[in-house]
Formats: sequence, structure tokens, C-alpha cells
Amino acid sequence: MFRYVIKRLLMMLLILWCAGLVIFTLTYFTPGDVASLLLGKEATVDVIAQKRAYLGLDQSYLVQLGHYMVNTFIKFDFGESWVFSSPVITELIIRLPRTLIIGLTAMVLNVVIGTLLGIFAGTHEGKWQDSLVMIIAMVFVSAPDFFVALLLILLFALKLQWVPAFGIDSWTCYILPIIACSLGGIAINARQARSSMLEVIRADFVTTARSKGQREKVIVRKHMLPNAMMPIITGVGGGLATVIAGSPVIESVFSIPGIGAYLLAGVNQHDYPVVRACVIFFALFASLAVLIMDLCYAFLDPRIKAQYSKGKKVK
Amino acid sequence: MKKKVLSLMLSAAVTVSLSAATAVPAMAEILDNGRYDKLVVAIAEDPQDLEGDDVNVGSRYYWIYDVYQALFDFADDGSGELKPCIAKEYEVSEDGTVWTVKLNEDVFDSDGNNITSSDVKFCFDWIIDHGQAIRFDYFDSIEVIDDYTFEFHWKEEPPAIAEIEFPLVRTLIYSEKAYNDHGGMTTEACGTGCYIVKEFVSGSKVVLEANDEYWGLDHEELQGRHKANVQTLELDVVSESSTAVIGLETGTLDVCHYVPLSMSEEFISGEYAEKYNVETIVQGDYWYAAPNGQTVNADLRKAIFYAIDNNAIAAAMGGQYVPATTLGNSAYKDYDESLEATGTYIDTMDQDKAKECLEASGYNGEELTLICVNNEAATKAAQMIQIQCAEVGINFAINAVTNDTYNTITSPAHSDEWDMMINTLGGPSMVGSWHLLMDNEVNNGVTFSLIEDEKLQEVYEAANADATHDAEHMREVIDYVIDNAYVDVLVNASTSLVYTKDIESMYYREGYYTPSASTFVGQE
Repeated sequence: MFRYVIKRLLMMLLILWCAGLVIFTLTYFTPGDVASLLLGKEATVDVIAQKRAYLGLDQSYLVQLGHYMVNTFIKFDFGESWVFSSPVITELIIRLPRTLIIGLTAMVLNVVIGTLLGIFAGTHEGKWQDSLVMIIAMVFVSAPDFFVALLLILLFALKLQWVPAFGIDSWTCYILPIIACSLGGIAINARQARSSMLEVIRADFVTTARSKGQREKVIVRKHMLPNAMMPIITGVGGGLATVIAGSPVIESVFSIPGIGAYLLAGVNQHDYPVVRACVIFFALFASLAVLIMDLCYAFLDPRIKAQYSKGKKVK
Repeated sequence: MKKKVLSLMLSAAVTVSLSAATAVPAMAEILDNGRYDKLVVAIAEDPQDLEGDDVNVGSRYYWIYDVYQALFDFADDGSGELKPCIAKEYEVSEDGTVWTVKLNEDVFDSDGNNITSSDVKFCFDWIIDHGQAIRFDYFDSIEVIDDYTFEFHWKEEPPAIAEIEFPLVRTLIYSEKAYNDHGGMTTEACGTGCYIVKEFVSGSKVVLEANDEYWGLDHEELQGRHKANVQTLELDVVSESSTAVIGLETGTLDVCHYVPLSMSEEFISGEYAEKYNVETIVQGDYWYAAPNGQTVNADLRKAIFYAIDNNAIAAAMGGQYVPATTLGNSAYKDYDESLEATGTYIDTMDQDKAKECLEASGYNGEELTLICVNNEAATKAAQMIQIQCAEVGINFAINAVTNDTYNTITSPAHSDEWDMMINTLGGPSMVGSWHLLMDNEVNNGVTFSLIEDEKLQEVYEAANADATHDAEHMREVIDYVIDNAYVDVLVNASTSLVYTKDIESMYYREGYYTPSASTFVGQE
């Protein structure tokens, strides 16, 4: 198992290197003149040329690529934002906690509430409880993020005045963004969990457990749930990878300066140091999320764990 | 039972903490030092950083002059006259190419550093080294004479103060030592203004605190904008106008200048009318359509302009625009009612006349390219123009591109890639806003829309020169432009400034509201 993890971590380095190469090349060949965009239409040709020289954009592709790869992967220096003038890594570190608070809390809610609702619906298949849960899930799957966010603001911030409408001044500012972020995920997870439960509910091992006289709660917890969890974990793994990217829409509606808003500003203003650093950052987080997911598979499924152990013995 | 007790306790805890967290703040009041306690102002754009290199980005215009100052101010009455600030006076050499500037000797920043001529030189060098010298066309160099005297060397005599506006009035001055001590002043600021940056959260807010040690307290010659009438000024970034409106409704915000006209009714006569004042702001920037001066002939230009209906364009662009009626608007101090262009294609849609001009133009139905920036407002305006022109038989294809691509394509080297551009114009004055479209020095002999016309240059220069900057010369430019159908103006951006009734009189600096210098109820 240990060797497997090491192998995966080495693989991750290669992925990051490739991500760096690809994003640099893509941004380099993106049409348009960055210096001209940064300075606006009133800048003269001379000033634009000076800006290009200052940003190092007048150098060849290979020279720029070389500087970028060395700075990023050897010196761990992601450069300075062309728009914000501050080191990109500093800004990412400042903004990351806000994005993670919203993303991870929303994800926990997604998994816990979504899975419980799915199990509840699955174990009441065909009854009114099942229909109710699925109707609610369908509504939240269909409702766009920003629409839900605005409705939440109107109700809880304006009418009831329980929580602030925007900002990051206190923990209460995060309540509405978390709810707005999680509702869609809860609905998706509920549908996924219900579907998985329905697959295992008629499996032979469940029938065997019932025939042995085990209580229904025990059957659900010990036999059905672990087997139904695999597709949910797959979904969670994918979700974890996107958590880090934040939600530009939610961050914009609630005026939360997170990673999503930062990346969006970077893309809109061709702030390539920001875009490139964010992509590397996302690639790192996505690789880690997939690794954690694979380890969870091994923990939950003895067959997969046996494969890892077998591999170790053979080697 | 145990569960019930637990859930009751949990509910109580949540209710108490929520109430505590969102408790209504105490009514703001006039402090013993005569200042209003705290004002929270919404800004739509992220200030990005605290560098004083560009006063125009990220809604900085509303607060940056509270923290930093330039050598001179423009007079707030709109006369365009230079007023002292960090510099107290200047002398112009006989040939007009050298200005000797004397600094106030008691200018200190918030760290206590005295501002000297070498600091001024440092700030100008910084701007040039960093490729930020926009509208520095006449600037050549700075020569330090002594601690408080330096010389501006211009490449040639500037024809108007407006031409050297950026070096004189928009270049912010700070001390070299403070710049180094504060890490380049990206996240920490140290200026000479009447406010100190107390807190900066990138993307979220800037909090300013009145500077009790402000050097200008005893300088009566400084304009009213340099008064700190508010103790704490908090600028919150709220990019969505609908969220900002809720902020006003809940009392979280005190001032917001971008409330859409369609949402302002409740502050004018509705539920919140008792709490807020509302002023409608026509913003200086206005939208124009300019055909390619090299590929579109005068008759075809007139045909296009007579086909366009500004009312329909304003409606299509949403609730924040009103039809334009001349090459500028009342937001500019040099605007005059006599400059209205009523009865021309600017405010008249005439499809018969458009067809008549179209016939004379020799247009054979080929596809013309309408280029614009790919934001929502520009795209909607372009679509409406496309529909209106199609009604008279002019066939436009829209090319909506990013800002940088727009700048590239509209350069003279790509003159065959577009036939008409739509975008916004703005500037320090109405004449200043004409710079791009009428000054042939913009593109080495042709204007931004590639017009080469000596007469246009002549009348524009006359209106732009300080000595002849008057309504008569401006009228001459407008008439000439309309006769030749060089430009059509479309709409003016217009929003509502909503502010707390605690502000008795809002202060305007060059047309921009300045809450920090405003007068509050109960203030002397």
C-alpha cells in the first residue's frame, strides 16, 4: 500500500508538470495583446511596448516557458498578478480558506444529508416518502445556483434579517452561501444514494441477512450501506476536486473574495500568472482528491485492498 | 426527552448567536471631534491593490484621493483651473516647454516622511519603468532643482492643461521610503491624504480612518475635498447591484451609486424614502458608433445613422441607459445646453432619409462588420443596430470580441477587418472625451476610427486649447462632425445615487460624489 501511494505521488508530479506546460502554452497562444488590454485604449504604441517589455512578453515562447517552468517547479514562485500586483501564491493562500469553508461545508452537507435522504427514499421505495424526497431533489437539481442564492438573500437577509446578505465579516456571512452551494449537491447525492440503495436492496446477501433474522437497521448499516457507498464516493471525489475552484457565481452574489472570483477576474483580464497558478493549484488538489478517493475504495472494499496487498507481496 | 432538551438548547444557542451577530448597529452620530462616526459605501469593482499607479481602475476614483494626492487638483467647479495640492505653484518658461514647480514644504505622509522633489521624481520614474505612462505624450523628464523645487521638461509646449492632465493631476505622489517600507504598497498604503488605510481585504473591502496628523489641516487654499468629515469610511465591494440594493434595505450600506433606475423607486417614494436620498446620475461615459473612416463613405455613414433609434437602443441595453442627444452630456462641466444636437441624426430616426442616403452611397448589399466588446451592454446595442439597419437594407454582421482583440483589430493595420465600431467615450471634460475620435495624433495621422481630415483636426484643436475652450468652438466641432457623419452617439449611462439622509449635502469632486468630504446632519 505504501509503495502504491508513493507511486501515485510521483505520478502526481508528472501530471502537475504537464498541466503547467499545457496551460502556459494555451495562454501564450491565446489571441490578443495583454499589455494593450491592461493599459486600455488610450495607451500609445510606445507605452504598450514598454509594458510588454516590463512583463517579459517580448521574449520568445521558449524563453518565457523556461522561466515559467523553473520559477514554478524549482523555485515554487508563481509570480505576481499583472492586475492585483501582489504575489499570486499569497492571494491564493488568503482566499483559499474562504472557498474551502463554503466548499467543504457544503460538501459535508451534500454527503450527509443527501445520503440520508437517499437511504430514506430507497428504503421507502414507491411510498409517499420516496416521492416527496425525489420531488424536492428534482426541484433543487433544476434550480440554478444564483436563483436559489437570491431567493435565500431575500428571505433570510431582507425579510427575516437573520443573516447578512453579503461580506465576510462574521461566520454568519457564510451561512447563506453554504446553503446555496449545497442544495444542488444534496439533491444529486440523494438521487444517487437512492439509486444505489435500490441496487443492493434486492441483492442475495441482503436476503440472506434478513433470513438470518437480523434487524432491518443492522442490515441497512452493515450490509446495504457499505455496498451502496461506492458510487457516492466516486461522486464525492469528483466534487472534492471542484470544491477548490470555488463557485464564481455564489462568490459574486454574496461578495465573497474567494478563489472562484479570483480566477474569474484573472480570466476576464487575461491575468495569466493568476490563471496559470490556479490551474496548477486545481490540478494538485484534483490529484490529491482522486488519490484519497482510491484509498477510500480500498478501505471500504476488501477486494481492492487485497489487490494492493497482493501487489506488494508479488513485488 | 434527552433529545428534546438537547435540540431546544441547540435552537436557543443558534437563535441567540444569530441575533447577536446581526444585531442592528447603534445609530451613527457626530463624534466629539466633529466627524460623522462611520459610513459604509458600496463599490462595484474590486480595488485590486493599494498602489497609486492607476486612479481609474476598480472604483478607486471614489476614494483613492482620500489616501493619496497628486501635485495639483482640478478645480471642483469644473473650470479646469489648476489648484494647489502637494505643489503650491508653478512657473512656465518662455517657450512653454519647462515648468518650474514648487512643492509645499510641510507635506508629510502618514508615516511622517516629508515629501521632496526626489520623491516626485521617484513616482514618475516608477510609472515610466512599469509601462504605466498613459497620456504622458508631452512628458519628457523631471529635473530636481532642490528639495522642494523641480522642473517638468515637456517635449513641446502643451496646447492645453487637459493634455498634461495625467502628469499633473492623476499621478499620485508618495515617498520613496514609504514605498520601500510598505512592500511596494500593494496591500499597505502610505499616502499624504486626509485618510489612512486601516484595513484592506483584497476583493472585499477597504477601511479608511481619518488622519488626525494630516498636513493639510492648516492649508486653507486646499479644496473642500481634502476635509475628512467622516471618522471611518468603509468601502465594501458588492459587485451585484441587486445585492447592494438589499444592503441598503437592510441598513448594512449607507451609500450606493449604482442602483439601477428600475430599482430606485422604493428609495424615492417607497418604503425606504424616509431613510435615503436619491440623485439620478448621468455618468460622463457615453456610447458612440463610429464607422471606419477609410472604408465607409459619407452617404453610407449618414444612412446608418438615420436608421438608428437611440430610444430603442437604450431600452435594449437595460434600465441603466438613457438616449444620448449630443457628443457628451450634462455630467461634464463644459457641457452647455446650446451644445445639444437636436433635429439631427443623433436624436432623429428617419428611415426614408436613410434609404435616400443609402441609394446615393452606392452600397450594394455587401456584409459590413460591426465590431464591439463582448460585454452584455455592447452586444445588445450591436444587435439592435443590426436589426434597425437591416430594416433599411444595410447588412451588418456583429463581431463581439475581448477588449484586447478590439484594440488590436481597430488599429490602422487591420483597417479592412471592420466597418463600424461601437464603444464608450469618456474624459475629464466633454472636449477631453473627443480625444480618441477627433485627434489624428491618436493613430499617427488618423483618428481612432481612421478618419484623416485636417479641418476636423483644426476645429478640435481650437476647442481643446485652453484659450478657446468655449461653447462656440465646441459647437463648431459638433456641427462639423454631424455634417460629415463621423460619429453618432447612442446612449448615456445613468444610475441612481442612493445615500443615507444623515448626509445633509453631498460633496462632488470633478463630478464624482465624495462622501468623505460631504456635510452630515448636525455637523457645523
